[in-house]
Amino acid sequence: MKKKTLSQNIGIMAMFIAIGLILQYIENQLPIISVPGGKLGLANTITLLNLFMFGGGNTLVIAIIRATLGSLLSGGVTSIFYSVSGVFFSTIAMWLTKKWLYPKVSMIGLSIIGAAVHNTAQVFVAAFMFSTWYVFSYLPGLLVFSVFCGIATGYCTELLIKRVFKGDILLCGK
Amino acid sequence: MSLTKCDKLIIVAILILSIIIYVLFNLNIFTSGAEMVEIRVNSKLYASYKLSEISDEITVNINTEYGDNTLKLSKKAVWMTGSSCADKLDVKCGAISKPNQTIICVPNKVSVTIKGSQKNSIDKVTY
Repeated sequence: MKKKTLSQNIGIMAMFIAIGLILQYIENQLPIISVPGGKLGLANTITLLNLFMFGGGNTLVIAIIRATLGSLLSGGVTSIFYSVSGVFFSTIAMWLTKKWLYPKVSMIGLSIIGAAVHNTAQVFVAAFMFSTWYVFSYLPGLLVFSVFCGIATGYCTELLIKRVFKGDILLCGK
Repeated sequence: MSLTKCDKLIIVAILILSIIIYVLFNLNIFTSGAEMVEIRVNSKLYASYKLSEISDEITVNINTEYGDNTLKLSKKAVWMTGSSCADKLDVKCGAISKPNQTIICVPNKVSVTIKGSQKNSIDKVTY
């Protein structure tokens, strides 16, 4: 695939923000599954996909814009802190893991790490906001939940790259 | 779908971590028995109740500038019945009854924690 110009890249990034927002919206319509505060993290598939397309920096920008807009659309202003910090740390964790361990850790592993770090970061923010350590009693449930969600979204991303991009994604944006 | 060795390692590590945290919060090494309920709004103490002094179910309305919540207390458990927030996660997460368990309502900045009593070394020892 040919090298893309800056404006082409910006266009593609904007498209991914839009897709992420829609996925977040669809996810919010689904009933909550057993664990308080837990959700599937469908938009994480987009973050993971972008990591392979654009590398870490651009992905971080896409993810943070998506999280900010998403929480403005669905919740209040306070939820911005939670979702942006979650997305920030999970993207960085996935980026570093991919950089150092990628072929050894598959896409599913990356996605599990992303989900787990996302939840952990949010619990830390909650602990800070409420200035109590007791919110950590939510963490075990969330971590177990994030393993399953990570497997699901990681598998989705694998399929996405195989079916939609015919495995060509690694060449994009280079 | 294929999990590599590293993937499995990550999954096991996360599961072990969650078990450790769960045990830390539920073994109650330092405390025993639910005693107090603390309601905090914006991390300031709003009200606290002694569970042993509650004879019947009581309803607590938490009305602040951040929003309104309705809390029910009984001798054994605490649960939210209503909230003015959008997602109602605090209502959905149900009743809590053990020390260190917490209900939080993020939009309204409300947290409800059950506190255990400090272990008394003499009164509880049996041979």
